[in-house]
Amino acid sequence: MAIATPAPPAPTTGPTPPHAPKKPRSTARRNAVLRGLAGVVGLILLLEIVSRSGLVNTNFLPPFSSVLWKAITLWGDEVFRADVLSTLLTYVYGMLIACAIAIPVGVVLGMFRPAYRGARAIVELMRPIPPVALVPLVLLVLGAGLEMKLVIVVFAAIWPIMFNTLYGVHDVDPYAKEMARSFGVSRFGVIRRVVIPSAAPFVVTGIRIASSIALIVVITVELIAGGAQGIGAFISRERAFSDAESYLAVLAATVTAGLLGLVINLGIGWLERRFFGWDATARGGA
Amino acid sequence: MTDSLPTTTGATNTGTTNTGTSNTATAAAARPAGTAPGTPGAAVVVDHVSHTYGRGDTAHHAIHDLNFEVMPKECVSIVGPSGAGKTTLLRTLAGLLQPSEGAVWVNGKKNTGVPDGMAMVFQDYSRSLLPWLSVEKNVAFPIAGSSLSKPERKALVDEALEAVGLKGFEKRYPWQLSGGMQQRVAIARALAYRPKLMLMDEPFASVDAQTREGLEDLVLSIRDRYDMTILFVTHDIDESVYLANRVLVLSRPPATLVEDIRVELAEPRDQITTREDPAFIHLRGHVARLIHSGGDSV
Repeated sequence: MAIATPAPPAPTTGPTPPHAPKKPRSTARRNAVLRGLAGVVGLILLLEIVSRSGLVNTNFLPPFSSVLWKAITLWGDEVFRADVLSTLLTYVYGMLIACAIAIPVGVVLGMFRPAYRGARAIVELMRPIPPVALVPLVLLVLGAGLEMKLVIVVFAAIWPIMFNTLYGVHDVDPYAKEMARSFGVSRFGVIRRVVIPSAAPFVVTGIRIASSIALIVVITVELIAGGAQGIGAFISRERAFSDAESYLAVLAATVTAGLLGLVINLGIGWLERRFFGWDATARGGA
Repeated sequence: MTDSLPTTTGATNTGTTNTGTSNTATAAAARPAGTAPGTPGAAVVVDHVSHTYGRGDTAHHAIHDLNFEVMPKECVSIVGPSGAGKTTLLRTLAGLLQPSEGAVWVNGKKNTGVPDGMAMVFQDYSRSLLPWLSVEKNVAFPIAGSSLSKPERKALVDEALEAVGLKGFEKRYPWQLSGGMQQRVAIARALAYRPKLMLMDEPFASVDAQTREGLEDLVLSIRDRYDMTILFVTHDIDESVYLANRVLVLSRPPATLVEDIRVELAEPRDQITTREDPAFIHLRGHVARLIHSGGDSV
């Protein structure tokens, strides 16, 4: 049958010829993805075997297949869907607001040293505050609604975006700015046409870091503040029943949260490579 | 032949109004306010320019009382010992730096910022080209904000890329090209701007020798084609003579003009025959001696 099909050129049996073309990047990438998947599948199999062999109580560690099945069937539950949607909306709004604040502030602080020196004390005072520690305060002022969640998420997501923007803007090659100036480009034109495009890869990396923090914070806040909706609220409610079935639901919701984070992260990583392929950090890393 | 030029004063080839005048005020009073000193119609007039970086103990006096002028369509090279303030001078001409004293006039207008019709080619192409823009967009960068229509802009970009021999590379990115090709892109970018004055800051210092010869001949060809005045800084003595109609030799800092040498070699210049011309060899020897002596009496 191998003869019948127009097979690709037969692989050489000897050592690779000295001038063999280098593996294209896409192949290298696919290999990396395959190895990553192998790790995940291996862990899942291990969990499954440990659970089914009775080494640990299946109440504590239900077989992964049951958890996965539960995670899938949960999507049939209208309440759960509303919870996931609520978490996602909070996350998206939070990220948008954080970007809208952090990027312009980062540009200004990165461009003008006096502004940075002036703001530094305040920033260094606020940045170490764990966002979740603000929950009681914000609860008192705003109640347990969307606004409360948003304030906390925005507070958590602002820092990575702002600092990456600041460093990105500050690191713009003065040479490139001088080149633009030598062609009579105005001060504002230099910011728009050189500084911002040059800092953009940094900003997007900041957004990627902030994004994973934001999702964690949304769900944590939903868990501890006992809000009405969200994946965290769902987990909190299910936990209260403390039977085997609800335990499975807690695990399934947790897995769902993890998958959401993974998908979002992959999406931003793809955007980085797609639009910032010119940047060495995007080309080399990610 | 050029050896016979006087070598004593920095004002050898300056115009009539300020030769031998050390007092800027009297020189300025001798002409109507707002008009350039020196020969009328000069492309560049450098009038008693001095520059000091910093102040106090750490002050660095980079250039001192430079006076010269450049007529339209001249190709002038500026050489001098390392750290002689060549780049400082070029930045002053480009309006990127305001001199501590004196003034630069470009096309009859005093530099208060970047002058009109001036384009600069920087030494480090890998930093002066924008990596997120394709070759054609890099070349279009200086004219992207202009009032030209889209077809007009495209025509300028196409012509500039053709002039530097990079037709067909429009959609590539700078980091996909070799160093010599990247510097061609940078030159095309300057050409697309249609400058009257082109300043080049050690433009070929970071390319290999063969590429360098190609780029030198490229400069000669675009000078004829675009009718530009070209001023370039170089540390390569052969290059300074090969490309130029005039060589300005600067002293060690604080840099003064040691000699203004007219280069009258046969045109068109040729990498082989020009370089074996006894006049060329004599000139390069003369320039080398001036630089090595660092501006002390030869």
